[in-house]
Amino acid sequence: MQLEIKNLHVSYEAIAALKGVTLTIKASQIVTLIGANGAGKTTLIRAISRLLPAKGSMRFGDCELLSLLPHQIVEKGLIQVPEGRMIFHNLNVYENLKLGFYKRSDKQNFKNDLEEVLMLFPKLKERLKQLGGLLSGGEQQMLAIGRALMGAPQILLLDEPSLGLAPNLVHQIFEALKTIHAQKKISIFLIEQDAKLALKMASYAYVMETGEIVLEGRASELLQNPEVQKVYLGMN
Amino acid sequence: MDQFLQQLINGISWGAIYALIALGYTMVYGVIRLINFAHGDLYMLGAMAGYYSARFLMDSGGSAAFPLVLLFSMVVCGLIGFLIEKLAYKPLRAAPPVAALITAIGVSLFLEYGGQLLFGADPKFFPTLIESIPLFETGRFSMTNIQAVILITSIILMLILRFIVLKTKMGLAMRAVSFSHTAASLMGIPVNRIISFTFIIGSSLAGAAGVLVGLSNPKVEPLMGIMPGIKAFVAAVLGGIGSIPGALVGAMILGILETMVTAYLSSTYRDALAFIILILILIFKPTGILGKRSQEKV
Repeated sequence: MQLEIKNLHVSYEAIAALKGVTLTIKASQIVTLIGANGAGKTTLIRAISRLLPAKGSMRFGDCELLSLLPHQIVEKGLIQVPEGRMIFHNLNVYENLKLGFYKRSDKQNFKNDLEEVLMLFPKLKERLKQLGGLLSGGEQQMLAIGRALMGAPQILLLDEPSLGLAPNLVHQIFEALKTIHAQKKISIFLIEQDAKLALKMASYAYVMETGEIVLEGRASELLQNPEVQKVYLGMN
Repeated sequence: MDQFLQQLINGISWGAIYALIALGYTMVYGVIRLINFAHGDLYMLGAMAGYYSARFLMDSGGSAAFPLVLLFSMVVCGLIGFLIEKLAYKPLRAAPPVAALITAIGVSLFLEYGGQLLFGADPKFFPTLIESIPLFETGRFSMTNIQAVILITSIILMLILRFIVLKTKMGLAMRAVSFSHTAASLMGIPVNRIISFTFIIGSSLAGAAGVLVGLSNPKVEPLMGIMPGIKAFVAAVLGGIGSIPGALVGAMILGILETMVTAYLSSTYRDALAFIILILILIFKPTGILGKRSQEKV
């Protein structure tokens, strides 16, 4: 199923943060959204998860998502890995992963899915009994992604997964994301400050400026676009 | 020494009642960061529900079995707690915290004076559900069966609570919600339902405390919840608000100290003690004995 966002508006009191965003995430595609700080990328992903009130339309299959509550969005299979990871510091790694499984009814698959996540991120296996708050930034990011995978997402929404991480960790995490995508054929919607990294991974891309989509196209084409190169890739 | 042990037993059984009330304070604070000042009044309603159900059972010829009365009170208080949250606090979820706090005081006054209207302001005599007999006596030192029932009932309820919080899916969700509503909803947790559930559990524990206190101090009246409510709040702060083991520890310390002060100094100082403790803990260790300072890690 694909997610179709049409003419989405979000405002913080009097200030318009999204001014009619239209965007499609096709089934089993990696779509990226790039843009400067403050362009409204996080606002969009928070609106998709229904954490912010929004106007417009947001259809996933036959379902209008704007009438749902945040936990129902998760039930539909749209699972967010939020900015800042939001690991439950008071719970251990195992419990964090278990919460990712919270809304699933197929209990018999828990063990199997847990094994898969631990295979993808072996570091988590050593830390299962450790409190989430005591993990390093990279481990927390792995846990956040692993936790989202435990929910069997149809669309994985990633908000700045590379934020604050050392380059080798970023590489590790993006490799893991590629593996997930190749194995599970889930759609990935990636918001990323590192535009080059994001465009290389995605098949389709959108560029956002002050709450509006100003450019879209195949990611490989955007990589070659002189304007994109100049503004987002730091090339002259 | 005998007197000390005697007072220790009295203190523990009094502390157990504080603990049941303090647990509700701390759980509600855990999930919505609200000091529910109406919580002490749920304890009063628990005693009232116990009084009326026991009277009803006795008047209709049967005997009023303690477990039945206890269960009835817990269900009534759980239901009232659920309604209070839905009607008074939920509409204010997005409002500044002080709005909910003032509302809590309003709900408390409503229950106290609504209670006077409904039940009458005169104290009622809680029916004798269990005949008081000393379990053992050595010199001046004894423990009654009522004290034992209070202690055992509290321990059973706390073990059930512990099981729910640590071993069930609902408990895991409660702990997730207490960390962050946003993060919990991103897991697919219906946050409002978990908050309701927490109110039901906390309120039913207060209801149980109301019945237990009816066994040992049979005078029940609509304003009886004020002082124990505030004391249990102090106990929760002393132990570390938001921490379930903390509420237990704080309540036991407060219960025992109060009995000791009454026995060795004067009962006049008893009520002052809780507030002295509150002031000292807020000055020297505001997080309480087992409370944690929340940390952010980037």
